[in-house]
Amino acid sequence: MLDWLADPWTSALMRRAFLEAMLVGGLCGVLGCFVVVRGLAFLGESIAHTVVLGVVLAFLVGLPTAAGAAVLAVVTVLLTTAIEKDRRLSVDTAMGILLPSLFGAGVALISLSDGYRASLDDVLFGTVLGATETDLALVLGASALTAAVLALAGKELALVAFDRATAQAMGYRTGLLDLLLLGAVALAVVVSLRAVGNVLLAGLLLGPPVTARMLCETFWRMAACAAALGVGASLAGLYLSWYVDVGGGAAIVLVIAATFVVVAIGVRVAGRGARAREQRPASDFAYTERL
Amino acid sequence: MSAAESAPGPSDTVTVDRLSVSFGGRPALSEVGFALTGGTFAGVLGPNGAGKTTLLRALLGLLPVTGTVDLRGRTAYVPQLATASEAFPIDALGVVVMGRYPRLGWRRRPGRGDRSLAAGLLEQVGLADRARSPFGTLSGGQRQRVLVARALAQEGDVLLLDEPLTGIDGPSQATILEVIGAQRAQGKTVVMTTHDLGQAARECDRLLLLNRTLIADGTAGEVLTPAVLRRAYEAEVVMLDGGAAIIDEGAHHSSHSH
Repeated sequence: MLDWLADPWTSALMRRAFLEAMLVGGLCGVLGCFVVVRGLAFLGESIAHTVVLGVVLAFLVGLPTAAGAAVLAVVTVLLTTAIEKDRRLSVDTAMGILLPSLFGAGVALISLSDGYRASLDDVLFGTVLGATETDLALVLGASALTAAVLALAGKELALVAFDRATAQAMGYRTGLLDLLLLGAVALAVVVSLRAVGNVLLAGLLLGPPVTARMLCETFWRMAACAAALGVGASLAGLYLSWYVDVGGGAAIVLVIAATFVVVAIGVRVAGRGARAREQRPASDFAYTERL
Repeated sequence: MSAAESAPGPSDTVTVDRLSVSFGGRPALSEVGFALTGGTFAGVLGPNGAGKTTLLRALLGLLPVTGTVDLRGRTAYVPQLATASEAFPIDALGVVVMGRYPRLGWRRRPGRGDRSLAAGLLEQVGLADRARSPFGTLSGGQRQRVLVARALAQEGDVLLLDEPLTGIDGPSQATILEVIGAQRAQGKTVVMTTHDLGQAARECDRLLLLNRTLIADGTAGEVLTPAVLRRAYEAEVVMLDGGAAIIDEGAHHSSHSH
């Protein structure tokens, strides 16, 4: 049993992959909670797609791909907030226009540039086994920055998510707090691409928080739970990948999906039992009903 | 009775002079002026779209305005109930503790003192036993009481409430009015927007009747007259049993004053 657990760690490649995936899992778990409670799920998904254009452009001009991804993430956030200001359009609509346009441009560029074609799979599905020291440093840096942001303004970001009007009335500059949050999310998306790729990233960003929401009734507990779920799923996913020989990113997202299904069923069964016992109001479970 | 005449006195906590607000060139409020002393409970009345919420937001300094708004001391604010997310994971005590955030400042987390103060305020609004209940599972009246408790946690000198009594149960309304009474007794100034003319006439000692400008300012007896109401609501007003009823208020509902 111990051998079975220790075996993957004997390879330096896997050790780096484990570290990369667990850090990314924790980071996405915490920030994903803000994404979920703010109803920004589509933004995370959108950034994950539009950065493909940045990655390809950076590759074509010989810059680090992470830099290209970061630029496109920022552009996505800025364009979204700009479109959002036009009250005739909803954020969803803004994303619906941005996502396919920028992603399409990225895919078109890939088709035009033979050199990059081979690594299209890496962009789409991630290559956690190919994580380099630089990748690890980037994730560590993003995690430290996020920790600093949350230490400084975590409670204020939660207040804005809960009740924006009152946050403004209390004198907080909610626009700046929004930019701080979106910046952190964009950064997390960029550094997570290596681990799970852009197609699977939404799973990492949204799965653990949604699962945690079913288990927790206060925000910071939800965030801690989502981080733990993200780290745990990354660990379990890489074992799965090692022994069953499926892609690391896919394995991690599958573990997240399986956990979600188990918890959703568990909460429902437990909820039904509790309701039968003490006639709890149905609204207690309104959130899970909606999922 | 014209508000513009009210000269600011030494005991005035809220002084508004020639306040105008416009949204994209369209005037939402123009030339509003009044002064409130400490211990006043003012009701802001008017038809839908009269600028009631705009006035509160202007008092909070959230809108670009012309004219002057002078507020002495700290403000505490109770938003319309619907603005607080029901899906956000937080318990009642956690919501009240949020009222402490401006005092705590960045970085500092609420401590034991903040939590015990919040627990005391929950008791004051009759929700001591719901401290650990998720906010989203509380009834509308209970949620509104939690938001009022949060505003009290801000320990402001001027309390601004946006429709705090609208659409909630009677006992919750009574509790909130009781809390407002206690605030007045401490010399705090309270400003509340409402649709309910009758309730405002009974509970407030000062009424501000708005319709994009200040139509009338005074006691219930001065403000709730058919002539004044007709000007504010631009609608048919009939006298019923000594009170006024407004019929066909632009939108499809009517308000009553008994």
